[in-house]
Amino acid sequence: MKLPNIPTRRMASLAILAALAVPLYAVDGVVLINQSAALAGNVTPGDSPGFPVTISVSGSYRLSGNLTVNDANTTAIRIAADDVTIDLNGFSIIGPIVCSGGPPVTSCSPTPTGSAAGIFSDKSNSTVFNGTIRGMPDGILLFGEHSRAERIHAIGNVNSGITAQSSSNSSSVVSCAAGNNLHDGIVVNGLAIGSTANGNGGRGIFTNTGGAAINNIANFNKRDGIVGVSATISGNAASENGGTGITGGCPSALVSNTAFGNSGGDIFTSGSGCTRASNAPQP
Amino acid sequence: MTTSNIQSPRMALLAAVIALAFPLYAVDGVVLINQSAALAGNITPGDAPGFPVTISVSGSYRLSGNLTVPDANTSGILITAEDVAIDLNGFSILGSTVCSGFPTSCSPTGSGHGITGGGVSNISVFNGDIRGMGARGIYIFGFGHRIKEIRAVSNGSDGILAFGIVQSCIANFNGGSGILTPGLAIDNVAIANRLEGIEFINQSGVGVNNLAISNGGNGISGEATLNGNYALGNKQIGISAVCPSSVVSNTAVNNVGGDIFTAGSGCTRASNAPAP
Repeated sequence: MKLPNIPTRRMASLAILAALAVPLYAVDGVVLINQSAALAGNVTPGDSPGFPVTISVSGSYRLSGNLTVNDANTTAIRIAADDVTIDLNGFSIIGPIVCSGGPPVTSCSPTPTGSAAGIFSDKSNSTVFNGTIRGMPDGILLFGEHSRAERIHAIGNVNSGITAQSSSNSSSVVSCAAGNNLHDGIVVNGLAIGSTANGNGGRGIFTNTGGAAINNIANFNKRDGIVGVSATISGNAASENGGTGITGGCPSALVSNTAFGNSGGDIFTSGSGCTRASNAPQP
Repeated sequence: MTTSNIQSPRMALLAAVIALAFPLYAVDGVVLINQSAALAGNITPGDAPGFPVTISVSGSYRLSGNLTVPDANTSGILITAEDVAIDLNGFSILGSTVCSGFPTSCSPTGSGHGITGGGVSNISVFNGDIRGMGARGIYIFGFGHRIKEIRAVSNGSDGILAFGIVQSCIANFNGGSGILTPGLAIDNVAIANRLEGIEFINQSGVGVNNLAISNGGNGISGEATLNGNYALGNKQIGISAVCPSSVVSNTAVNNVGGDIFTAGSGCTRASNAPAP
């Protein structure tokens, strides 16, 4: 039987609205997030339409498309539950900010008036991996315990590219690239390993008191390339930075690092109790 | 026709029962495991409804949701076959145990592990969290195992005990040690565990680029090649090696029992802070 046109259209509209309001799942149970889902809201209970996407339920989430945020003061994804994993799945979170100049980068516009990030978490056990965050006030801000960022490209953000800080030094930044951010590339309380930080307007990589920076590269940053305070700093390379190439606040072990062409000196230690060995330049 | 009204619910019920009784497969052939599948059972032959999920067939398995075990004496997944890969897929295996304080204490404790298997070889577990188990997060004997990108936090006993490679894991606030292995531990973080941070429990281990902070015992210890590690504020020795071992390019700071220590003869120590 042919149904009247008006009810059919209404039902179609209702079906579309219903689809938009219900989380999408991949075949393996992971919740999918894309621009349409973000604008529709209800990705998890309490998530309002638009940005930020609020994740209030522990579980596994995956981008199924780029997320574009048009406001320089708005966070793209806010993690509001413990035990959340976000796979960017090779996609990007893109903000409206464009950074230019350099290297190192010299300016970003428009200037945000508040604090916002591509991904923000103050919850424990957050993991973010496999994608790009560009043009946001901060790229990633992870302030909970046991956080991990891996295979993230954080490019052209106003403040820092990747910040992973925890009171117990339990954060990890692994195999990431942070470039052309107006302030620091990577700031971590814990482990920075196998990452690159080039052309940032602040420091390349900073491991706060009690951590390790291992096998990283930091070039063309405006300030120091790699800085560790009470840290193991091993196997890194730093060149053409505006400050020192590699700096260790003692006690630290600085071993097997290479630094050259840095304006503030290549390898530098402050205080007593540091070990320097097998570096180039020696010792 | 009125009979269709009766048959449809029956057929729906039958379909639901069939769906519950057979494993779910992802499009790539991997067997999916979630709470509903675990409670239904038969994920592999011999798997009884409820926990533990028993994996008795070699193959590839993937979580499609968090698993929550009912009590501290129940394990999440029991592996009884060789050559099994489990992708936690960003999900968690969760229990009721909570660890807190320093030194860490946990309650309730019990005999349940997150993932366990005895005497099986070539097990891979990766990409997810195991939190709040009564005993260990991962507890797998046998050989050739690979544990990667696992966060084992707040379990009643050790975070990870596995024979093989433990890589890029986080083992914090557990009631035993963070990581125990006779093999290779690389790029791991072990913080505030009640006992050791990372311990090599047999000869010829290798510990590279690990972080051990504020553990109740030693930070990193064993007979092993220890290179590029960092130990801070552990209650016993920061880095402790039984000779013969190679201890190179490590940093140890403010550990109560001493920073870097070797026992016996035949060790090599170089480029550490504190020196040599």
